[in-house]
Amino acid sequence: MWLTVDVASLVQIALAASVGAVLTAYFLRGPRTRFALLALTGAVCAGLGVVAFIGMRFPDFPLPILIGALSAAAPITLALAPVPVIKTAADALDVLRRTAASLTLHVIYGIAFAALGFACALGAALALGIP
Amino acid sequence: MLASLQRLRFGKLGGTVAGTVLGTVVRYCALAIWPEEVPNLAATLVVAGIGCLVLGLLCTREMRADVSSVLVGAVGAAGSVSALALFAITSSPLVCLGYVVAVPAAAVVGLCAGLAIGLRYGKVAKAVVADS
Repeated sequence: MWLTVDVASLVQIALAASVGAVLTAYFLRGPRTRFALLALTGAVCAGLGVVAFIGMRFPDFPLPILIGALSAAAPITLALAPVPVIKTAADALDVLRRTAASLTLHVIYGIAFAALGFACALGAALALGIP
Repeated sequence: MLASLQRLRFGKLGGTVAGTVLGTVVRYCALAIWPEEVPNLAATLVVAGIGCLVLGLLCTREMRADVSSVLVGAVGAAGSVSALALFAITSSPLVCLGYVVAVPAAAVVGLCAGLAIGLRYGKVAKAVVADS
């Protein structure tokens, strides 16, 4: 891809990830429905699709900041929430059934919304005549 | 917003933020070191599998809240859904299909292993306590 490892990038990523984590914690401060969690994942992935387009079109854009914040804002744990304390094998089977469907949905929605964000950014650039 | 954040337990929030920073930096480094499509997919599968294994263990074991919040933050950020969506849309169609199919499968396998290990160790610990 278009990323490099240097100290400045890592510091930017770390700071941006902390901001993304706090924003996600703020969003999750109360009980949320599974649809709300899915919507958060979709919105964050669409934003990352736009960022991907910007990164490909404008190599000087400060990508690590946006990638760090948006990566931290949609953790895989959103697909598993709420995770109960499991004490028996029956509880474990129930959680496995629920999380398998939830994980698949989150991944498919995430990729679809990221592609949608990328396509919208491309369309906007073409409409505005941005080279 | 600040008032809502103050209602969150600071220790738990701090642990989650620290874990998230760690997980994001590790994932970024892995991406920068293995930027090609297939190695990156393999790294994503490994991270998702190991991350869900840790989550499975956390579900079955009693652990200090600050330690578990760090672990949950790190695992969640390292296996970020948005990051893997970004990798998927910038890859070839076959690799993208690999992300769609293999990542949930790896995560479920990891979670299953974590739950199985956690439940088994839990039973062993109870038996040891009962014997002594």
